[in-house]
Amino acid sequence: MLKNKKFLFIIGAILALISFGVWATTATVTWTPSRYAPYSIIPGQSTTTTVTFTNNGPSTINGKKLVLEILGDVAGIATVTPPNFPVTIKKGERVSVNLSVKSPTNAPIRVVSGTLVLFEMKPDGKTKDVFSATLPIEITLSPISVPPDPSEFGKMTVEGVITNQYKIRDDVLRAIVFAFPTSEPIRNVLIQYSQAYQKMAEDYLALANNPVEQKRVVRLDAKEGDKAQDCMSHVFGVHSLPTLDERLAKLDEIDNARHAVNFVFLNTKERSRVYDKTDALLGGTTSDSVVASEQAAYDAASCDTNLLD
Amino acid sequence: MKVLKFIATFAIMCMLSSFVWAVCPGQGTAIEFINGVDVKKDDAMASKKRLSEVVTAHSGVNPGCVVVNYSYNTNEPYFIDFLEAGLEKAELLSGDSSDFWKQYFRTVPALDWFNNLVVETLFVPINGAIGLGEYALGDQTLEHVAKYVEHTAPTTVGGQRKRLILVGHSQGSAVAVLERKALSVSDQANAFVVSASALTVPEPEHDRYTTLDKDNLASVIFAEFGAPLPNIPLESTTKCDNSNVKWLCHAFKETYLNIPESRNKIANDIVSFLPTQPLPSSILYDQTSLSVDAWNAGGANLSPILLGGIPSTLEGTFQGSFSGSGYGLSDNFVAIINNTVTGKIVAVSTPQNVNILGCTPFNPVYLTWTFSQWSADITTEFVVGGTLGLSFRPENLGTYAVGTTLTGAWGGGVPLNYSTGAGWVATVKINGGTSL
Repeated sequence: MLKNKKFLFIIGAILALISFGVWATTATVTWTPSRYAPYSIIPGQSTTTTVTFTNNGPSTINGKKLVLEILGDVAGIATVTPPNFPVTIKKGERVSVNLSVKSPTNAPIRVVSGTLVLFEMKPDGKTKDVFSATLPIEITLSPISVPPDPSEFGKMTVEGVITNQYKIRDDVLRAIVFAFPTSEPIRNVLIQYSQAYQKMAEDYLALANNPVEQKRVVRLDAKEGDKAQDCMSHVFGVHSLPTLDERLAKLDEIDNARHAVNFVFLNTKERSRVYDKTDALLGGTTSDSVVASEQAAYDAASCDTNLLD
Repeated sequence: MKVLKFIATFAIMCMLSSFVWAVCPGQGTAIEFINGVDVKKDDAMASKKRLSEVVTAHSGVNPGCVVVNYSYNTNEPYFIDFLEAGLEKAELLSGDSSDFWKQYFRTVPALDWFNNLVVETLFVPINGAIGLGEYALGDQTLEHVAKYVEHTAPTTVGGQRKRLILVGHSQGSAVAVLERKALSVSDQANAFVVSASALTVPEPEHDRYTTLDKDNLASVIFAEFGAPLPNIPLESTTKCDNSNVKWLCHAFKETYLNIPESRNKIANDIVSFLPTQPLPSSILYDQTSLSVDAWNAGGANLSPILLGGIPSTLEGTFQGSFSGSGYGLSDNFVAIINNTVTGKIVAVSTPQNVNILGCTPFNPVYLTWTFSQWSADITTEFVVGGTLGLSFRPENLGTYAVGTTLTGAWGGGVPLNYSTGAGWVATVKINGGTSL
């Protein structure tokens, strides 16, 4: 008898939830895009983007008072223009929302994160509950244009996500810009270095069925890597320093900069394996010969002129 | 604008290629760094850059007469086991494979698990393979040797061979010795090995080695391979005193070329093999100290260098010359040549008190002596020295056929720290000949 009562109570509760539309709506609103992470915003500039959420059903969102809020650090630089929510949002219907972001004039380079949340206001007009899946927001404030962080999605392949003009991985470019936001020459030489290694990895994979050609091409790519390292000595000003200790300290600085790129470049097992296999093809190679007294001029001439402007 | 920059860059590269050795005919030295198992190609390149700075900062080195290169020594397939185990461990502990590379590139102190992996999966298998004679260097050996031959090839001026100094680190030292043995006999005579944390016992005449006593990794690894004992003691206050930095304190670039004691020794060892090695002025003209044996002990190369052609007749004159070059002008240079002749010789003409006022940088100055007649087995010794900072070092030592004409450059000047210059005793032997 008691069991029957319990069963009826549970059935009744489920029916009540369905009748209020809660069951169907909470889990089925989806955001487009699923993550808002645009290209970086330059200090002092602003941007407005439209994002949408869609009621994927299965039923109509009916008679609920919905509000939007931005939570997290991003609330300090972003505003949302509340849409005129319709009384009913049918299954499949899309609602557009304007999201505006303004970067402070003197904002340092940084990533500001937060979420856009759709709440349901309760009848008391004060309390509210999270109504749907939230929209993650990640805004990069940077004086130099950088692509959004490809995040875990960018790690799914060896080649990674590349949307920038330099044809290096977006996460690698971001690491370079974040490490050296105030020095364009250093950024450029690290981009030159990254281009060599990106190309080496891509060529290694593309020529997997032709080992002879693969070895030849990878070795040519590695020469470009050497040139980038020579250029680093020029850009960091090694040769202009008067004492050996100063020059060695500067070489340490170069190594640290180079390794900061390496760590991002090798941020997955598969990328590490490809790097190791390409490196194995380089056994036997030697650096180009130049008398030590001419090394400074040689290093200067090793910089990629396409990156100078 | 970009076009102009490209043209300018291209022009500079063309000029540079023609400058190689041009200022240093017959006296060039190629210094080749061979890495151990602990670096990838980029860091071999970085080590080469650091080595170049250390070498060229030495007062005994003319930067116009040396090139510093790397010869990349990869360690596949041994490295792959180490890598896989290391990546696995890093991801297990932190979820980030970059943590393996941070320790590998020595930007963070290596943890115990990493140090243990280095020994267990990398050094022991490789060293075991070397010990059993199973270590295969593969094609890279041939590529390196071909490059070395190019570097030791005779120059067109004077026909003198260049020198080759192989700087090996750790397992790279074993590679250096193996690759030197792969050279021709004449090239081997011009090739020397300078090792850091060496795996191989050096040959005194051709090798120098440096091992830090705080190189804990070396002590663990090398004990069973008969490698030389550490010869650079460090104070306990050095950064290598911490057991957590085994990996760091085995490093060539970060440690051996950083700590002044080892850095200076490596530089001095390299310079000891250069043609322009200066000797302390305190022993100038000291016949006892300047004996050939003393010179040998200092690391000079006494290998024979055959210059010029052999005349069609055995009669005639033996004419040798040597040259010096220096920075800036010099005057009142004095050459003293003491001939100690064994065998029969009728006449010898030697220059005395040669004034080389007006010597411009790197322009050779020739001193000439003449044996007008000779018999078999002539030995002559001479001492040369400068009073204003020029130094000469006779290179043409060894055994020559009768009538060999020795011409071209001998030695080369370097800026010396000694106000009275430097000098050497050299011995020239002429075997065979015409009896008078």
